[in-house]
Parts: sequence; structure tokens; C-alpha cells
Amino acid sequence: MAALSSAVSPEVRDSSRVKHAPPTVHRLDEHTVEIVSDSGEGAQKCGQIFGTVSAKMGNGVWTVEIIPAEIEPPARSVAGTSGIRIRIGSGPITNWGDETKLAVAFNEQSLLSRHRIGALADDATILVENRWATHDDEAIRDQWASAMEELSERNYTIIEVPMEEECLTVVENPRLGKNMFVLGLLAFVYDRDLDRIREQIAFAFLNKPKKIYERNVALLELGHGWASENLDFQYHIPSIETDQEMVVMNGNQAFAMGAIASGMELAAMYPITPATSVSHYLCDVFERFGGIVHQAEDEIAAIGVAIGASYSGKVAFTITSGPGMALKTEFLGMAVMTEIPLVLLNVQRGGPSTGLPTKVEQSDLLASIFGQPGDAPHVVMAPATIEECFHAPITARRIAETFRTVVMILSDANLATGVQPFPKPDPQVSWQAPMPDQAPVPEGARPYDWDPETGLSRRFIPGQPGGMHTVTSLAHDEDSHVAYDAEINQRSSRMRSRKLAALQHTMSPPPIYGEESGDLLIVGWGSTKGAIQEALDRVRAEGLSVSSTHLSFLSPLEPGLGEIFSRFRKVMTVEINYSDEPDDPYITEENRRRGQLAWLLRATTLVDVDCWTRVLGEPLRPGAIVEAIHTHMPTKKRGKRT
Amino acid sequence: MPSDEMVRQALEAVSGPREAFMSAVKVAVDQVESYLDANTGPEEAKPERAASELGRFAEGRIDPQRFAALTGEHEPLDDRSQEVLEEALEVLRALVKKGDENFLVHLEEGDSLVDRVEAALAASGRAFGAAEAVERIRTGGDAQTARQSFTGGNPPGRWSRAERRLAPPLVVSVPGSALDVEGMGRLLEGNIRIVLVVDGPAPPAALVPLMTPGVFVLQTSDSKELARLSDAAGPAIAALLPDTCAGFVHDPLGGPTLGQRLTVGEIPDAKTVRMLGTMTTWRQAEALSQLAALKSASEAVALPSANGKSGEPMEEPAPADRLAAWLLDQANLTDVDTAS
Amino acid sequence: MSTCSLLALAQSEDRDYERADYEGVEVRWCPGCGDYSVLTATQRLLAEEGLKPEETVVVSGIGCSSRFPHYMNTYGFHGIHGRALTLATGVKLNRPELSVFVVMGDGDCCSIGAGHWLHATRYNIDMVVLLLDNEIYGLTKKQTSPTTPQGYKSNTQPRGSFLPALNPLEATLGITNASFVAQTAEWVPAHLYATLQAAYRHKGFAFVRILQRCPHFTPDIMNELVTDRDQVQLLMHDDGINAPGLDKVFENRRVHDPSNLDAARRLASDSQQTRLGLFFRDESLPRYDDLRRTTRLTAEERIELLNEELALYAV
Repeated sequence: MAALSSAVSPEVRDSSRVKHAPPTVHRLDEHTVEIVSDSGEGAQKCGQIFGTVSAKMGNGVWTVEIIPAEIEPPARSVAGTSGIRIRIGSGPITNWGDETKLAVAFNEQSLLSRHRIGALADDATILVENRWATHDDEAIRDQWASAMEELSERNYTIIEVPMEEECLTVVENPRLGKNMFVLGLLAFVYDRDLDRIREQIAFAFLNKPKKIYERNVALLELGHGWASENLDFQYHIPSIETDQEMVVMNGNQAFAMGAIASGMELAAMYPITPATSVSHYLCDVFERFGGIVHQAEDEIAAIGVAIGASYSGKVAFTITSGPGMALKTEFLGMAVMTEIPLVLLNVQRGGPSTGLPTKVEQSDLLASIFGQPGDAPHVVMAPATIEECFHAPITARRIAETFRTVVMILSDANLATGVQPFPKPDPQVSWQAPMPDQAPVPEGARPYDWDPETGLSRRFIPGQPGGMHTVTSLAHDEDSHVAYDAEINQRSSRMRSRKLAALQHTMSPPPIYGEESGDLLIVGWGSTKGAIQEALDRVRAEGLSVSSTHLSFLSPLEPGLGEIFSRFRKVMTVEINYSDEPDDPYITEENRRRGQLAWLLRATTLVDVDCWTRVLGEPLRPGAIVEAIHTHMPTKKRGKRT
Repeated sequence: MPSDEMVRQALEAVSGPREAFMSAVKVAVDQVESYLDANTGPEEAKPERAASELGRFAEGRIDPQRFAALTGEHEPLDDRSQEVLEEALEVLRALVKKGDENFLVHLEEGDSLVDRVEAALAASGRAFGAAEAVERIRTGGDAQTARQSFTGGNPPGRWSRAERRLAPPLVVSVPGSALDVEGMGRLLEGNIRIVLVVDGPAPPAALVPLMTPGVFVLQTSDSKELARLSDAAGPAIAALLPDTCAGFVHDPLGGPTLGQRLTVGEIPDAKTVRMLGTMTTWRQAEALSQLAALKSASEAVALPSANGKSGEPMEEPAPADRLAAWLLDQANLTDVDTAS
Repeated sequence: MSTCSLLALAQSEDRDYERADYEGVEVRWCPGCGDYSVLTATQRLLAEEGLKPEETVVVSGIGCSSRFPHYMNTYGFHGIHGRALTLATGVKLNRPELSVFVVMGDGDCCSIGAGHWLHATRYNIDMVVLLLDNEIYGLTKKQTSPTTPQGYKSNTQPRGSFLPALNPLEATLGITNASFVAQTAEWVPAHLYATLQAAYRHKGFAFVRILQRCPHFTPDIMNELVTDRDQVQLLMHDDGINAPGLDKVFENRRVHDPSNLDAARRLASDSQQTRLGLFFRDESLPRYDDLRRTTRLTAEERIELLNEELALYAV
């Protein structure tokens, strides 16, 4: 049972020596752990259960999946690493943090992939499967040796774990069980409640035979037993007491549930990463709620079906990601032109084109707002947390109906797969759309009876006697009659545009995190909120005068931005999209391509908004934002900008 | 087969119209609730309602006062109208709560089939009455008159064409001795679906009198046959009976001739019938011989025709009439002004 | 998921309709355009079948024929090029109780919207689908369409269409789960009407290709078919489309059993003979709208279920 030691490993501890010694307990406010493996070895399931149980024990949790683009990439390859990162803390955790302190690896190659991108802290502890060190295949032994050599560049503590050897005592195919063994290891290291883990395993394998549950629990206990005999450390992260009922899920599930809570009843989609898991969940449950998920033949048909459904009744929604949204473009313009309400969820991924399908990016902002040929004003909003992913579709549905418009919700891969506990929503009847009224249309009522002030009008739907009309994608007048008249086109364009101004008129300026004025204002949007605010806490503790604001509405923008900006010496956006560095070759103030929000803010406020952006295919780390703030602080000499 | 199982299968056979009816009731519940919510209470409550509808994402971001000001006018209801609307809503809610029970009737010996069926339909029909009341009030009608449309039952005779299309189906478990369809014909309109699950000795050709060109009628001892109901167009009635009874199906979609519509299995011997409940042996025997007569009539016209697989030969009007008919048809279709 | 509401029923009046009840705005097709005849036949069908204007939706794409909904006094959806079937699918999934007619041109259906044509055929959702095939792009002024006869000159293929014309009947009959395929011609109104009626009464996706003259760009394409009745063969069967008296007007007739898919495919793919009639019908095929029916919930029921669902994720 003793762990084997390897000659080339740097500072490898022979864990057999610490057998039966009481572990040293480290008390911590927060900690980050990663589980990495080949694809299909269940590291993510292990991490999800670990994260959920931690949340149930009252810890703040944020989990992020590490997903390769291929379903079955070559085994033991650096590029094919699959896994999950879990950050747990005493207080609420709002982002994935900086570097990993504990890594559990099913092979040394996946470890290497994390090492090479700097995911692991210099003093990280690593638990790694050791069977590769003594593998029959010489090539694998060599890979192990050279990996250990490379890992020795850093001050990691590497502990070899005989995962497969141990698992074989319980199962025949250890590939299908290592993850539960590892869950047992983590349960010991973080002192998790085994009963809760068993419960969670039961939930995870709800529809599987009991035998499978039993096998998984046996592996869990095996891992826990091994750890308690062989590991000499434990982490204690006190949990927060709360009376509030909490739920824990990822952003895509939260969106799906929110959509149900909004009373919408038809989702049309075409499979696309990382949006598809919304429909996986919906396909499981939606019919019980009287809803339909229609998997269309393509992205265009998906939005067409959603628009057709919306046109004839309750607002429907479609789910996509960047490339899919590109295909939906013509229909989006039509929905705006015909003023048919629609909710569109775009779970953004890396681009352009097929880009980084499984990775986070915020590069669809400008395309979302301006991407439809012709002038097509519509609403764009962005949830910043998983909780907001639940609540956003409720607000979106209401706005879409009242303003007869398209409402886009921009989420991203970080929110989609991130898991975080949040207060259990309390669904309301008022959140839900009733079927639109089908009362007879009064004589003389017109299908586009634009209120000259707000641009709003009431729509008629099929079934309403006296309301017969033909909606058209062509320019049209108040009666929906095709009209090429110059004056009518000017007027109808004005009315469609006015709706955004009317919506903005109902909005309040965004709240400021930190002081209401100061040296630097960071502006963010979407999933970066947690990381930005954590970075802000750190730099404010250093004494820097930095505040932030986070935008939830991008079209129309929340009001009062110009005034807010005027209270800071410098304004800078922090985003996950590409921008030129000011000191790169050929880059000038004029030709510099800036972050997309910066572009938008400069255009609307005429303020010289700077930006700091990265497209590393991963969420922003608070530490990196701290560094960016340090390098972007305005020099004290300059006077307050007017 | 236990009769519970047969009732379950019968309910399954009418799942389409059941779901359609319940869905329509549920949609109406939401609509009436929302209408009441929007038009009762003080004007000042509007922002609160807007805030609640917008949900938590809008909290602190959208001012409910301003949002509410953008949306529709508030037309406060008078107390009397509100009261009637609330009562109508209660009727609809009660039907939702009753669920599948809305579609089930259980008869004892001595009960009148037609009366019980009509009463059950009248009870479900209150949904139509309640909706009518809501509409009356919404269009400014008098509350007292509106209320009358749902107080008491609302039998099918009072339903509109559109309502009949959405008729609630019924599954009736009935002892054979109560299988007297006298008077039932007038209930078979629109899209009504009635399935009789018959227990014990029964008249062998009980449903024969209900056969008219537009009514789907099925007698069978095989519960799988009930699936045919879902394809029927128009009113339909089926009976699941002991296998001593005649089996036949009359499907209006079969075609314009009796031969295309009617399929008859084995016809039991009229000598085997005996008095059952109110049904004399003579009446039962009459139904049997009527079925036999229809069977032979249908077989006589079902000979293969020259230009088709089966069925009645095409009528052959005189050539001059044909030409005239054709010309008339052409004229009817080409009278638009194509020069506009 | 029927979203038909009792409230809508309550104000629905019992009445009969005339063709004039379905007339929309003033028609602005070219004089002599074949679309007129289809419009009139459709209006007549609606009146005869007693379809309420407010419960009927006519969906179209973009093209000459796609102006169709404007000329109907029903609910209409004049969408975007090639996508009419997707919109109609959405309408029908959401509101199965509505009667839906789709009007497309040959460019709309067979070219830019070909993908949707294939899939909508397979979905077999209950709707009437009219392909108004004039074998040319009209609205954009005479470009070759997929159904333009080989060799026919246009502004985009001035030396004549390079390839043999795509055969929409053959294509539709080749799609899995196709349930109704018929061909008619706008200049034979009695047949046109009988075809529309059969299509409307079909439970499923009723695909009707209508041969249609374009007097402006392709006045010559269908000339022979119009003037010489013998060039057109009428498909006859008791279960087929039978317009009164037509069997005596068309000498060239053939008995075809519309339940025979192989024979239908053979007849449809024969490029030597134009045929009018019902090629294929099968009402027993699965219908997607039927399979996707769900029972609606009230808001309160939904909350109850949602709370149960949330409890599964409770911490």
C-alpha cells in the first residue's frame, strides 16, 4: 500500500513514512484545488460533487471546468487535458481566483499542461497517479521522468498516489473509478462530510442501477481511507453560517430554470458549445412544465421557429453562441423590423470563427449590438453572476414583451460551466408571462400604433378577431402595409430607436463599488465582476484610490455614465476580448483597437476610456487585474480630467 | 382485463382532446388572473406590480415607477365585475384541480346514460360559460348577466361551434344493462369523444343507431382498437364491450360511400339477446338486423371500380351537365380583375 | 402545447364566410400573373371550409408570390427569403389550433430555403405548403432558379441554364416521412381548387407544387402545357384529387394509386411528361407537432414544480 517513490522526482515525499501520524491541520480562508485527467476519466464529475458538497457545508464555492475541444483527445496528452478547478472559501467566492494550491492529477501529462500555462502556485501541493513511473512501456516511463524534471523548476510538493493499484482492489476497470477514489482523497484533505458526499453520489447516479452507486461509494471510502493513512496534512476552511436557503448549479442550468420561471414555453436551438448544456437540462425537464425544446435543423431555423412561436403567442427563446449568432443575423434584423419579441441567449466563447469553442471570451459585444445590417436597435444585457443567469431571462422576457423587441443575454463559458451557490429563488406568478390576451381588436386599432413619445405599441396575435394584418420584413407603416415612402421609413426607424431611449429612461445609473470618486474607475461587464471586485479589494487595501462599476445593460447603456466618469481621473475597462497594447509596433492612439466596451464607452461618453484586456481562453485572475491596475494608475501629476 | 386498466386505456385514447381542453382552461386561468391583477387595486399599486414582473435582475437598475408609466392604461374594475370575475376564475380553477376526474363518469345499474353524460359535459362546460362571463365583463358588459353564463351547468346544446371543437372528452364506465344510447345522438357534435367502457352482459349492437355519415362509431372488445379515436375527425363514440357483442367501425374519413366507411365483423345471432335494463329484446334484435342490413348494403357498393382500387363507381352525369358544371367552375374562379 | 384559450373561444362567433371576407389589400402582381388564380382559389377554399380569418395564418418568404399574405385578410407573416417554413413551424408548434398556409416561390423553397424544405417535409407538421413555381426569379428580375429549364436564358445564365432543372416533386418524394405530394397548375382552376382542398384536409405536411406562369419573364415556358391539353397528364384515382368534370377535359389520363410511393417516385421523376394530381399521400406517418404536444400548466402549477426542481439543487 505504500506509495512508490521515484528517483527523478523533485522533493518527493515517501508517504508511507507518515503512516498513522496525525495530520497537520492548516486553517485557511480560502483554497483552490484542481483535478486534471484525460478526457472521460470523470475528473469533472468528481469536482462537481466536491464543489456541491462544499457548498452544502456552507463554504463559498466557485468551480470552473477545464474542457478540451475534442471529445476523446489522445490519452496522456498535454493538449487533451480535461478537468475542473474548485475554489472554496469561508466567505462567498465570486470568481475562480489566481493559482491552484492543490492539484490532483491522473497522469503527469495533464499536470504538465497546467504547469506550463502557469495555473499552479509555486508552492502548490500535487497528488499524482504514480503508475506511469513504472509503466511497462519505456516511452511512458521516459515521459514521466522528463515531466518530473520539468516540474522541478518550481517548488511544488509532489506526492505520488497509487490510484490505479488501490482502485483495482475494488473494481476491474480503474478508469471508471479513479475519480471517486480522488473524491475520497479530497474528502479527507478538506475534511468533508462523507454522508453528504454519499447523498450527492446518489443524486449524480440517480437513474443508474444501485450497483453503480455502491461501487462509487466503495471507491470513495477507499480513497478516504488511503488518504487518512498516508497524508500528513489537512486543510480546514471554516464555513459561513447562513439561514438563507441556497441552491447550487452552473450558469447554464440557472438560465434554463430562469427561463422556465419566466413562463416562456418554447426554446429553439441548434447544438453549439458552450450553450448546448442549457438545452440538455431543458430537454430533461421542460415538457413537464408544458414546454418544448425544438432542436432545429440549423441555427437559422432555430431562431425562425422561436420567432414564429413568439409571433403567435408567448415570447419564445433561442440559445446559441457566437458562430450561431452570426447565422441568425438576418432573422434578428427581421425580429427588430417586425417588432416581434424574442429572447436570445448567447453563451460567448473564444472567436473569431470557430475559435476556442470551450473557452471563455467576451468578444461578441459589438457584434451583438451592431451586427445586424441596417439599423436594428434592440436590447442587450449581461448577467455577471450565476444567480443573475437565473434572474436575467425573467427581466428579459418582460422587456421583450413590453418593448416588442429582441433582448439578447450575453453570458459566457465562464458562467456557463461555473458553479456557485446562491440564494434560492422564490418563483412568482408575476414573473411568468400569461398567454397574451386574445380579446377582439377594437375597430381602428393598428398593428403598429407607435406612441409618438415612446415608440411603444401593442401587438396583436393570431386568434384576435379584427386584428388581421400581415407582419412584414419590408419597411411598413402603422398598418403593417409595405411602404417605400421616405417619410414613413424615417418615422418607423425613429420609433424603433426611441424604444431604447424610453427603456433607458426607466433605468438608474449603475452603482459604484468603492468610493464615488477617485483616481481610477474600472468598468466591466458580464462574468468578470467577481474577479474585478476581488482585485479592487486588494488594491484598496494597499491604499490605492480605485473604484469599479459593472454594467448589466449594454444596449441601451445604463444612464449617467458620463457624469460618473467625470468623478475619476482615469477610466479603464477590464474585459476578456482582444485589444492592442499601446506600445506595440505601429499602434498609435488613433489606430489602437480597444476593448469592445471601451470602444462603446468612448463613443457614447467622449471620455478617453482606456482598457486592459486578455484573451487567454480562461477567466481573468484577480491577481492579474491587480497588476494591470498597478501599471494603469494615472500619474499623480496630471490634474483632474474635466 | 380489470376495468380500471380499461378505463386507463380509454383515457389514453382521448389524451389529445383531454390535454387540449385542460390546456385551454389553464391558459384562461393565467389570463384571468393576470387581467384581475392588472385591473384591480389602486393605480398606485402599478409600480409594485411592474417591479414584481421585472424580477430581481431589474432591482436597482430599472425604476418600476417609470417602467409602469410606459405600459398600458389601468382600467379599474367595479366591485361587482371583480366579484364575478373572481367567481369565474374559481370555476376554472376548480376544473384544473379536478384534473382527469373531469373526464370520468361512473354509472350504476339503473342510471340513464344520456343524462349522466350530458350532466358531466354540462359540468365541464361551465369552463366555456366562465370564459364567456370574463369576455362579457371585459367588453363592458353587465356583471349580473355575465354571471348567468356559468351559474349552473352549461350543457353542450348551448356551446358554440368553436367550443364544440374543443369539447371535453368523456370516459364512461357503464354496466351493460345501462347501455342505452337513446337520445345520445344530439350530444355527438363538434369534436366530442365519448368512450364507453362496458361491464357485464350488454346489448350486442348498442351503438348502431348512432351511425350517421359524419359520426365515428366504434364497437370493439379489443382495447387497442381505441387508438383509432385519435385519428377520427368530427364527433366520435366508442364502446369497449364483451366479445359476445358485434364488432364494427364506422369511420367518416373512409370516404363518401357507406362501403368505404363501414367495416363490420362477426354479427352475433339475434336469438341470443335477452332483456337488459330498459332495452327490450326486440329493440336489441332490431339494432342487430339494422347492422346486418348496413353490412350487406356496404358490401354491395364496395365493388372495385374501373379507375380506382375500390368504392362506388363514379357517378356518371350526362355529358352536357358535366361540361356545364365544369364551365361554371371555371367562371367562378376567374372573375378577378387581373388588370389592376 | 395548445395555447388556445377559452377566452378566445368565448368571443368567437358562429358565422359563415364568403370569399370577400378573405380579401386583403389591393393586389399588385403583374397583369396576367398566375398568382392571381392561386389567391382566388385559396380564398374560396377558406370560405368553403369556414376557416375563421383570425385563426388562419399565411406565411411566406420573399419573392413575387410571397406578397400573398398581404392580399389575404387573415393573419399573415411576410418573413425573409427562404425561411417561411421555419416561421410556420414555430407558429404551429406554439399554436396547433391555427390553420397555417405557407406560400413560397421556387427560389425561396428550392434554393435559399432548400434545407428547411427538406426538414420541414420530414417534420410532417400539419400545414398546407404551396410552391408557386414559375421557374425563374421574378422580383429580382429574371435570374436562373433551380427549377429553370435547362438551356433557358436568364440574366445570370445568359447562354442558357447550365444544368437540368431541379424537380421539386421528385425531391420531396425522396424525403423520409413525406406525407402528401401533389402537383397542379394555376391555369386549371378546378384542379387547383380540388388540390388545395385535399391538401388542407390532409393531416400533415401537404406539399403542393403549382405550375405558374410568369407573363413578364417566362411567358413562353409553360405555353405548350397551357394550350395543348394533351401535353398534361391527369392522375386519376378514387383516393386521388378529383375535380368534377376534368376527366373528360383531359384526354391524357392515368390511374395512379397515391398510396404507392414507388410508383409516385417513378411518375414524378419522368421528365418527359408533366402530370397533375396527387402523387402520394400517407396519413399514418408520424407528425412532429403531434409528438411534441404537451399539456400546459397554470402559473401556480409551474411554481410548485419549479420549487421541487430547485429543491434538488438546494444546499
